[in-house]
Amino acid sequence: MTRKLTALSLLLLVFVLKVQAQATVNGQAYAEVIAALTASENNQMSFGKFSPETGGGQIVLTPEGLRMAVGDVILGGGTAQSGKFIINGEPNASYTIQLPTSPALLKHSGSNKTMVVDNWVSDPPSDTGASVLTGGTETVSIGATLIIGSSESNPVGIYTGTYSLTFAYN
Amino acid sequence: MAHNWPNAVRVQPTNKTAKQQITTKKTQHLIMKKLTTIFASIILMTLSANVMAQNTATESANASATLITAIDITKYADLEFGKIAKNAATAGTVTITPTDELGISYSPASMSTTLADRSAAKFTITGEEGQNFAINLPSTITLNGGEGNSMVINTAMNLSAINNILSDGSVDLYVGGTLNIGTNQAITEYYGSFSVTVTYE
Repeated sequence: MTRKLTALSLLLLVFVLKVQAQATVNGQAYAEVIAALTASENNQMSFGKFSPETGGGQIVLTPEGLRMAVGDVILGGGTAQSGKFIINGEPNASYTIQLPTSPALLKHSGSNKTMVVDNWVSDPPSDTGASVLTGGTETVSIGATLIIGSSESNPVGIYTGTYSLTFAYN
Repeated sequence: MAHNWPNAVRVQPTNKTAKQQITTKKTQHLIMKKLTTIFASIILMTLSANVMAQNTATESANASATLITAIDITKYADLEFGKIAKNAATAGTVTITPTDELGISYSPASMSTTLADRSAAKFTITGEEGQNFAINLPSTITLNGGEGNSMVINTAMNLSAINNILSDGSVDLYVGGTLNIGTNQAITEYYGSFSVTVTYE
Protein backbone atom coordinates (compact mmCIF):
# COMPACT_ATOMS: atom_id res chain seq x y z
CA MET A 1 0.00 0.00 0.00
CA THR A 2 1.38 3.25 -1.00
CA ARG A 3 0.46 6.58 0.09
CA LYS A 4 0.43 8.91 -2.64
CA LEU A 5 -0.10 12.49 -2.15
CA THR A 6 -1.78 13.74 -5.10
CA ALA A 7 -0.27 16.93 -6.02
CA LEU A 8 -3.02 19.22 -6.80
CA SER A 9 -2.34 21.72 -9.35
CA LEU A 10 -4.87 24.05 -10.44
CA LEU A 11 -4.73 24.86 -14.01
CA LEU A 12 -6.74 27.72 -15.15
CA LEU A 13 -6.88 28.44 -18.76
CA VAL A 14 -8.36 31.72 -19.59
CA PHE A 15 -9.13 32.59 -23.15
CA VAL A 16 -8.86 36.30 -23.39
CA LEU A 17 -11.07 37.41 -26.21
CA LYS A 18 -11.23 40.89 -27.44
CA VAL A 19 -14.81 41.18 -28.65
CA GLN A 20 -16.06 44.66 -29.37
CA ALA A 21 -19.39 44.73 -27.54
CA GLN A 22 -19.94 48.48 -27.91
CA ALA A 23 -19.48 51.09 -30.59
CA THR A 24 -19.98 54.86 -30.69
CA VAL A 25 -20.28 57.34 -33.55
CA ASN A 26 -20.72 61.11 -33.67
CA GLY A 27 -23.35 62.88 -35.72
CA GLN A 28 -23.66 66.57 -36.60
CA ALA A 29 -26.78 68.69 -36.45
CA TYR A 30 -27.29 71.96 -38.30
CA ALA A 31 -29.86 74.69 -38.80
CA GLU A 32 -29.76 78.23 -40.09
CA VAL A 33 -32.23 80.94 -39.14
CA ILE A 34 -32.70 83.52 -41.93
CA ALA A 35 -34.80 86.64 -42.20
CA ALA A 36 -38.29 86.09 -43.50
CA LEU A 37 -38.99 87.43 -46.98
CA THR A 38 -40.76 90.79 -46.86
CA ALA A 39 -42.37 92.77 -49.66
CA SER A 40 -43.70 96.31 -49.69
CA GLU A 41 -45.36 98.32 -52.44
CA ASN A 42 -43.20 101.16 -53.69
CA ASN A 43 -45.24 102.38 -56.69
CA GLN A 44 -48.94 102.06 -57.23
CA MET A 45 -49.80 100.69 -60.68
CA SER A 46 -51.58 103.34 -62.76
CA PHE A 47 -52.83 103.45 -66.35
CA GLY A 48 -52.96 107.21 -66.25
CA LYS A 49 -55.55 109.24 -68.16
CA PHE A 50 -57.27 108.12 -71.37
CA SER A 51 -60.43 108.33 -73.37
CA PRO A 52 -62.32 105.17 -74.35
CA GLU A 53 -63.89 106.82 -77.41
CA THR A 54 -66.62 104.93 -79.19
CA GLY A 55 -65.45 101.36 -79.07
CA GLY A 56 -63.09 101.26 -76.16
CA GLY A 57 -60.10 98.97 -76.39
CA GLN A 58 -57.12 98.23 -74.22
CA ILE A 59 -54.10 99.83 -72.65
CA VAL A 60 -51.05 97.63 -72.29
CA LEU A 61 -48.76 98.77 -69.46
CA THR A 62 -45.26 97.24 -69.48
CA PRO A 63 -43.20 96.57 -66.30
CA GLU A 64 -41.02 99.47 -67.45
CA GLY A 65 -44.06 101.75 -67.19
CA LEU A 66 -44.68 102.33 -70.94
CA ARG A 67 -48.23 102.44 -72.26
CA MET A 68 -49.54 101.19 -75.58
CA ALA A 69 -53.12 101.91 -76.69
CA VAL A 70 -55.14 99.29 -78.55
CA GLY A 71 -58.45 99.89 -80.35
CA ASP A 72 -60.22 103.26 -80.13
CA VAL A 73 -58.53 104.25 -76.90
CA ILE A 74 -56.70 107.56 -76.88
CA LEU A 75 -54.03 108.05 -74.26
CA GLY A 76 -54.04 111.21 -72.21
CA GLY A 77 -51.60 112.49 -69.60
CA GLY A 78 -51.63 111.79 -65.92
CA THR A 79 -49.19 109.54 -64.16
CA ALA A 80 -48.84 106.16 -65.79
CA GLN A 81 -46.53 103.81 -63.97
CA SER A 82 -46.02 100.10 -63.41
CA GLY A 83 -46.45 98.63 -59.96
CA LYS A 84 -43.15 98.36 -58.03
CA PHE A 85 -42.39 96.23 -54.99
CA ILE A 86 -39.28 96.07 -52.82
CA ILE A 87 -38.42 92.55 -51.71
CA ASN A 88 -36.05 92.01 -48.76
CA GLY A 89 -34.60 88.82 -47.33
CA GLU A 90 -31.67 86.42 -47.14
CA PRO A 91 -28.82 87.62 -49.39
CA ASN A 92 -28.60 85.62 -52.63
CA ALA A 93 -31.53 83.41 -51.70
CA SER A 94 -33.67 82.23 -54.57
CA TYR A 95 -37.32 83.21 -54.52
CA THR A 96 -40.38 82.93 -56.71
CA ILE A 97 -42.93 85.51 -57.79
CA GLN A 98 -46.51 84.47 -58.11
CA LEU A 99 -48.66 86.84 -60.16
CA PRO A 100 -52.43 87.19 -59.61
CA THR A 101 -54.29 84.12 -60.85
CA SER A 102 -57.42 86.06 -61.73
CA PRO A 103 -58.23 89.52 -63.15
CA ALA A 104 -58.57 92.55 -60.91
CA LEU A 105 -61.75 94.60 -61.01
CA LEU A 106 -61.45 98.39 -61.00
CA LYS A 107 -64.61 100.08 -59.72
CA HIS A 108 -65.86 103.47 -60.70
CA SER A 109 -66.00 105.82 -57.76
CA GLY A 110 -69.35 107.29 -58.73
CA SER A 111 -71.23 104.26 -60.06
CA ASN A 112 -71.16 100.49 -60.27
CA LYS A 113 -69.27 100.47 -63.55
CA THR A 114 -66.10 98.39 -63.72
CA MET A 115 -63.03 97.78 -65.80
CA VAL A 116 -60.91 94.67 -65.86
CA VAL A 117 -57.13 94.38 -65.46
CA ASP A 118 -55.53 91.13 -66.63
CA ASN A 119 -52.50 89.62 -68.42
CA TRP A 120 -50.16 90.31 -65.55
CA VAL A 121 -46.43 90.41 -66.30
CA SER A 122 -43.40 91.02 -64.10
CA ASP A 123 -39.76 91.98 -64.26
CA PRO A 124 -37.94 89.82 -63.26
CA PRO A 125 -40.20 87.32 -65.01
CA SER A 126 -42.21 84.93 -62.86
CA ASP A 127 -42.46 82.00 -65.25
CA THR A 128 -38.80 81.23 -65.92
CA GLY A 129 -37.97 79.74 -62.54
CA ALA A 130 -36.76 81.33 -59.37
CA SER A 131 -35.10 84.72 -59.15
CA VAL A 132 -32.13 85.56 -56.96
CA LEU A 133 -32.28 88.08 -54.16
CA THR A 134 -28.94 89.64 -55.07
CA GLY A 135 -27.56 91.48 -52.06
CA GLY A 136 -30.68 90.63 -50.12
CA THR A 137 -32.96 93.12 -51.89
CA GLU A 138 -34.74 93.33 -55.23
CA THR A 139 -37.27 95.55 -56.99
CA VAL A 140 -40.01 93.69 -58.82
CA SER A 141 -42.01 95.64 -61.44
CA ILE A 142 -45.50 94.62 -62.49
CA GLY A 143 -47.32 95.46 -65.72
CA ALA A 144 -50.77 94.44 -66.98
CA THR A 145 -53.48 95.11 -69.57
CA LEU A 146 -56.52 97.30 -68.88
CA ILE A 147 -59.65 96.31 -70.80
CA ILE A 148 -61.78 99.33 -71.59
CA GLY A 149 -65.39 99.28 -72.72
CA SER A 150 -67.22 101.96 -74.66
CA SER A 151 -67.71 105.43 -73.13
CA GLU A 152 -71.17 104.23 -72.21
CA SER A 153 -69.84 101.28 -70.24
CA ASN A 154 -67.03 103.24 -68.72
CA PRO A 155 -68.11 106.79 -67.81
CA VAL A 156 -65.65 109.47 -66.85
CA GLY A 157 -64.10 109.18 -63.44
CA ILE A 158 -61.57 107.38 -61.30
CA TYR A 159 -61.55 103.60 -61.20
CA THR A 160 -59.63 101.78 -58.42
CA GLY A 161 -59.03 98.24 -57.34
CA THR A 162 -56.53 95.90 -55.70
CA TYR A 163 -54.42 92.92 -56.71
CA SER A 164 -52.19 90.56 -54.73
CA LEU A 165 -48.82 89.00 -55.38
CA THR A 166 -47.03 86.22 -53.50
CA PHE A 167 -43.26 86.10 -53.01
CA ALA A 168 -41.71 83.01 -51.48
CA TYR A 169 -38.28 81.56 -50.80
CA ASN A 170 -37.61 78.67 -53.09
CA MET B 1 -14.25 7.44 7.24
CA ALA B 2 -15.81 9.92 4.98
CA HIS B 3 -13.71 12.65 3.65
CA ASN B 4 -15.23 15.77 2.28
CA TRP B 5 -12.75 16.38 -0.48
CA PRO B 6 -13.08 19.81 -2.03
CA ASN B 7 -13.66 19.69 -5.74
CA ALA B 8 -10.44 19.66 -7.63
CA VAL B 9 -10.97 21.08 -11.05
CA ARG B 10 -8.53 20.19 -13.70
CA VAL B 11 -9.08 22.01 -16.94
CA GLN B 12 -7.61 20.18 -19.88
CA PRO B 13 -6.22 22.57 -22.50
CA THR B 14 -6.55 21.46 -26.09
CA ASN B 15 -3.18 22.88 -26.90
CA LYS B 16 -0.67 21.86 -24.31
CA THR B 17 1.89 24.36 -25.42
CA ALA B 18 -0.56 27.11 -24.70
CA LYS B 19 -0.73 26.27 -21.05
CA GLN B 20 -0.92 29.23 -18.85
CA GLN B 21 -1.08 29.23 -15.15
CA ILE B 22 -2.92 32.21 -13.89
CA THR B 23 -3.74 32.37 -10.25
CA THR B 24 -6.02 34.85 -8.67
CA LYS B 25 -6.42 35.56 -5.03
CA LYS B 26 -9.47 33.35 -5.02
CA THR B 27 -7.53 30.53 -6.59
CA GLN B 28 -4.70 30.99 -4.14
CA HIS B 29 -7.14 30.75 -1.29
CA LEU B 30 -8.59 27.66 -2.85
CA ILE B 31 -5.15 26.13 -3.14
CA MET B 32 -4.41 27.06 0.45
CA LYS B 33 -7.68 25.60 1.56
CA LYS B 34 -7.00 22.42 -0.35
CA LEU B 35 -3.50 22.15 1.06
CA THR B 36 -4.85 22.64 4.54
CA THR B 37 -7.43 20.02 3.99
CA ILE B 38 -4.91 17.62 2.54
CA PHE B 39 -2.53 18.26 5.38
CA ALA B 40 -5.24 17.56 7.84
CA SER B 41 -6.21 14.49 5.95
CA ILE B 42 -2.62 13.28 5.87
CA ILE B 43 -2.37 13.60 9.61
CA LEU B 44 -5.54 11.67 10.04
CA MET B 45 -4.32 9.06 7.64
CA THR B 46 -1.00 8.72 9.38
CA LEU B 47 -2.63 8.19 12.65
CA SER B 48 -5.05 5.81 11.27
CA ALA B 49 -4.13 2.24 11.21
CA ASN B 50 -5.86 1.76 7.93
CA VAL B 51 -4.09 3.77 5.34
CA MET B 52 -6.28 4.79 2.49
CA ALA B 53 -5.05 4.33 -0.93
CA GLN B 54 -4.45 7.29 -3.11
CA ASN B 55 -7.59 9.25 -3.54
CA THR B 56 -7.94 11.45 -6.46
CA ALA B 57 -10.78 13.50 -7.48
CA THR B 58 -10.63 14.58 -10.97
CA GLU B 59 -13.09 16.53 -12.88
CA SER B 60 -12.67 17.70 -16.34
CA ALA B 61 -14.33 20.75 -17.60
CA ASN B 62 -14.51 22.08 -21.02
CA ALA B 63 -13.60 25.63 -21.76
CA SER B 64 -14.98 27.09 -24.86
CA ALA B 65 -15.58 30.50 -26.29
CA THR B 66 -17.54 31.71 -29.25
CA LEU B 67 -16.17 34.59 -31.21
CA ILE B 68 -18.94 36.81 -32.58
CA THR B 69 -18.88 39.71 -34.97
CA ALA B 70 -18.13 43.00 -33.28
CA ILE B 71 -20.96 45.52 -33.16
CA ASP B 72 -20.33 48.62 -35.21
CA ILE B 73 -22.16 51.81 -36.17
CA THR B 74 -21.48 54.07 -39.16
CA LYS B 75 -22.95 57.48 -39.95
CA TYR B 76 -24.39 58.11 -43.40
CA ALA B 77 -26.20 61.43 -42.93
CA ASP B 78 -26.25 64.31 -40.45
CA LEU B 79 -29.38 65.91 -39.01
CA GLU B 80 -30.04 68.95 -41.20
CA PHE B 81 -32.82 71.48 -40.71
CA GLY B 82 -31.82 73.69 -43.64
CA LYS B 83 -32.70 77.40 -43.71
CA ILE B 84 -35.63 78.49 -41.62
CA ALA B 85 -37.32 81.84 -42.37
CA LYS B 86 -38.19 83.67 -39.22
CA ASN B 87 -40.55 86.59 -38.81
CA ALA B 88 -39.61 88.96 -36.04
CA ALA B 89 -41.01 88.02 -32.64
CA THR B 90 -42.54 84.74 -33.74
CA ALA B 91 -41.55 81.51 -32.00
CA GLY B 92 -42.02 78.18 -33.73
CA THR B 93 -40.88 74.63 -34.36
CA VAL B 94 -39.55 72.56 -37.22
CA THR B 95 -39.98 68.78 -37.01
CA ILE B 96 -38.07 66.19 -39.00
CA THR B 97 -39.44 62.66 -38.81
CA PRO B 98 -36.79 59.92 -38.35
CA THR B 99 -37.38 58.35 -41.76
CA ASP B 100 -35.56 57.61 -44.96
CA GLU B 101 -37.71 59.91 -47.09
CA LEU B 102 -37.74 63.50 -45.88
CA GLY B 103 -40.70 64.25 -43.65
CA ILE B 104 -40.59 67.82 -42.39
CA SER B 105 -43.19 70.19 -40.96
CA TYR B 106 -43.04 73.82 -39.88
CA SER B 107 -45.11 75.65 -37.35
CA PRO B 108 -45.92 78.32 -38.45
CA ALA B 109 -45.82 77.17 -42.07
CA SER B 110 -44.43 80.53 -43.19
CA MET B 111 -41.06 79.47 -41.77
CA SER B 112 -40.50 76.82 -44.42
CA THR B 113 -37.89 77.17 -47.15
CA THR B 114 -36.24 74.67 -49.47
CA LEU B 115 -33.12 76.78 -49.77
CA ALA B 116 -30.75 74.23 -48.21
CA ASP B 117 -30.52 70.48 -47.55
CA ARG B 118 -32.87 69.04 -44.99
CA SER B 119 -32.65 65.44 -43.78
CA ALA B 120 -32.92 63.09 -40.84
CA ALA B 121 -29.62 61.67 -39.60
CA LYS B 122 -28.94 58.12 -40.76
CA PHE B 123 -26.73 55.45 -39.23
CA THR B 124 -26.20 51.80 -40.06
CA ILE B 125 -25.60 49.30 -37.24
CA THR B 126 -23.86 46.02 -38.11
CA GLY B 127 -22.97 42.98 -36.04
CA GLU B 128 -23.74 39.37 -35.27
CA GLU B 129 -27.03 38.18 -36.71
CA GLY B 130 -29.65 37.53 -34.05
CA GLN B 131 -27.95 39.55 -31.33
CA ASN B 132 -29.85 41.98 -29.14
CA PHE B 133 -28.45 45.45 -28.74
CA ALA B 134 -29.21 48.64 -26.86
CA ILE B 135 -29.03 52.13 -28.33
CA ASN B 136 -28.03 55.21 -26.38
CA LEU B 137 -29.06 58.51 -27.95
CA PRO B 138 -29.32 61.81 -26.08
CA SER B 139 -32.87 63.12 -25.68
CA THR B 140 -31.79 66.64 -26.66
CA ILE B 141 -29.19 68.20 -28.94
CA THR B 142 -28.17 71.83 -28.42
CA LEU B 143 -27.29 73.88 -31.50
CA ASN B 144 -24.95 76.80 -30.88
CA GLY B 145 -24.96 79.96 -32.95
CA GLY B 146 -22.27 81.90 -31.13
CA GLU B 147 -22.67 84.89 -28.80
CA GLY B 148 -24.91 82.93 -26.49
CA ASN B 149 -27.44 82.07 -29.20
CA SER B 150 -28.67 78.51 -29.12
CA MET B 151 -31.59 76.28 -30.02
CA VAL B 152 -32.60 72.89 -28.65
CA ILE B 153 -33.69 69.82 -30.61
CA ASN B 154 -35.83 67.21 -28.89
CA THR B 155 -34.68 64.04 -30.60
CA ALA B 156 -36.73 61.20 -32.05
CA MET B 157 -35.41 57.96 -33.49
CA ASN B 158 -36.59 55.03 -35.57
CA LEU B 159 -35.01 51.64 -36.21
CA SER B 160 -35.54 49.42 -39.18
CA ALA B 161 -35.40 46.41 -36.82
CA ILE B 162 -37.98 44.95 -34.45
CA ASN B 163 -37.06 44.60 -30.78
CA ASN B 164 -33.49 45.73 -31.40
CA ILE B 165 -32.35 42.48 -32.96
CA LEU B 166 -29.80 42.40 -35.74
CA SER B 167 -32.01 39.97 -37.64
CA ASP B 168 -29.91 40.04 -40.79
CA GLY B 169 -26.79 41.55 -39.34
CA SER B 170 -27.54 45.12 -40.44
CA VAL B 171 -30.02 47.68 -39.18
CA ASP B 172 -30.68 51.28 -40.16
CA LEU B 173 -31.19 53.91 -37.47
CA TYR B 174 -32.80 57.27 -38.26
CA VAL B 175 -32.60 60.28 -35.96
CA GLY B 176 -34.93 63.25 -36.34
CA GLY B 177 -36.57 65.57 -33.88
CA THR B 178 -38.25 68.88 -33.16
CA LEU B 179 -36.20 72.06 -33.33
CA ASN B 180 -37.45 74.82 -31.02
CA ILE B 181 -37.05 78.35 -32.35
CA GLY B 182 -37.34 81.17 -29.83
CA THR B 183 -39.32 84.39 -30.13
CA ASN B 184 -36.32 86.53 -31.04
CA GLN B 185 -34.03 83.84 -32.36
CA ALA B 186 -30.87 85.37 -33.83
CA ILE B 187 -30.39 85.18 -37.59
CA THR B 188 -27.26 83.06 -37.97
CA GLU B 189 -26.00 79.52 -38.49
CA TYR B 190 -26.29 77.01 -35.67
CA TYR B 191 -24.14 73.88 -35.20
CA GLY B 192 -24.28 70.96 -32.81
CA SER B 193 -23.11 67.37 -32.42
CA PHE B 194 -24.32 64.23 -30.71
CA SER B 195 -23.10 60.70 -29.98
CA VAL B 196 -24.90 57.44 -30.64
CA THR B 197 -23.70 54.34 -28.77
CA VAL B 198 -24.76 50.77 -29.48
CA THR B 199 -24.06 47.91 -27.06
CA TYR B 200 -24.64 44.19 -27.25
CA GLU B 201 -27.00 43.02 -24.54
